[in-house]
Amino acid sequence: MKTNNNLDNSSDNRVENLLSPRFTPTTSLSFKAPAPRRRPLWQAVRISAVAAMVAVAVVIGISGVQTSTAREVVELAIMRLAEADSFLVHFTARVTKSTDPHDLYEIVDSNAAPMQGTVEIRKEGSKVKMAIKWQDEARSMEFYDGESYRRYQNGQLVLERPDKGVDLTPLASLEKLKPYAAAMGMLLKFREEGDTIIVSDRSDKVEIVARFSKSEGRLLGAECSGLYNGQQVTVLTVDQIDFDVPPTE
Amino acid sequence: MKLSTENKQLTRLAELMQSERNDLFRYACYRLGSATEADDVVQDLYLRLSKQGARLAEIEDLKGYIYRSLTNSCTSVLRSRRQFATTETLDNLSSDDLAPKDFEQEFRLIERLMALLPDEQSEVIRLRIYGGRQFDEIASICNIPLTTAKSRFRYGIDKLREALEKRGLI
Repeated sequence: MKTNNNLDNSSDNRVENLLSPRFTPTTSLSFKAPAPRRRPLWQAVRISAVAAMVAVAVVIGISGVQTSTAREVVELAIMRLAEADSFLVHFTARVTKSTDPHDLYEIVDSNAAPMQGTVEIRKEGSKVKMAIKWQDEARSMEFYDGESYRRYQNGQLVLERPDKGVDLTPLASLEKLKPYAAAMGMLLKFREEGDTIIVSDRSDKVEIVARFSKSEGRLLGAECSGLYNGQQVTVLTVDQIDFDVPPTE
Repeated sequence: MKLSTENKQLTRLAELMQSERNDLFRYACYRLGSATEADDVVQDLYLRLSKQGARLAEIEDLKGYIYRSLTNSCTSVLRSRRQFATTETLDNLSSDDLAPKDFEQEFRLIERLMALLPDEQSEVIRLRIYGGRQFDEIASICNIPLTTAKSRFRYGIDKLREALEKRGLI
């Protein structure tokens, strides 16, 4: 009986060995508690810019390649995106003055008047510079150079403080983009509806949808909306994106 | 005050997910057979739980809740692609199949073995071997007594051993 038990144990060990994982793939998953949502506009602009860039990259990606699934298209497009040096995103947003001295504008409610602006992102070596220009009365401009934040109004420097700025590392690949988006509370979904590929995210407060046509190879639109007073309100629309643009003033 | 409670809970969730991420990912990998889908399922789970915010404080055994939610999510994915109907049997299993050379072969072998067992036994084995859970944790996740968790594991292994011995594979 004892021998049988030993035999069984030996066999059991073999069974458990057979079941033991030896080739587990690796994961880049990482979880960090989100920072308090103090700066909704900044977050929305950055998120929309990322979503729109992905969308545009996809347009470029599908223009010269025969691919089948949205995921394949996006994978390829992000590879091409990583090679671009600059982007200029034209947007329209409903904004009001921020009560927080760190922020210029906040997206608050549906009653705010739409204001146009641009986000320019430029890669210079290992540095990423970003400028947000507003078509407001003071011709406000916010500039991030990777080390500091500077705000100009009427051509004058009115605020300067240290700020690490924007990190484009996540845009090197879809696998890097997903955990980054997740850390911001986003789960990017890629799906096809007929001729349209849709890149979307819906978190509890912000929804992003970027649509583009496969056959025409162009961006149909991208927008960011939020839930305000029980109503879904479009707060930011990406109107146009230019790629590899010369530096603006 | 509400924001502070919410931040505290989200930090608790993020820290727990971070410390468990490899076990969660491995479990999902060997349940779904795809690293990409495993990533998606675990991320999706994190986002869904994050949305509970301050209400996470009401969950006493958050770790158990996370694993329970993960097993449910994996089951939903498998149902949506009708994975259950395509698993091969052991009938044409060769000794080469017992020495897989990559993840795909390994996953196929494990799936064939797991298909021999009732769901409640295979689930305990998966949580133990791929999720890295202790039996008391498995008992909590599956909402069963500790002795039942242990016996399900034991019976499952016994059944696999018998099946393999019968075919002269071990």
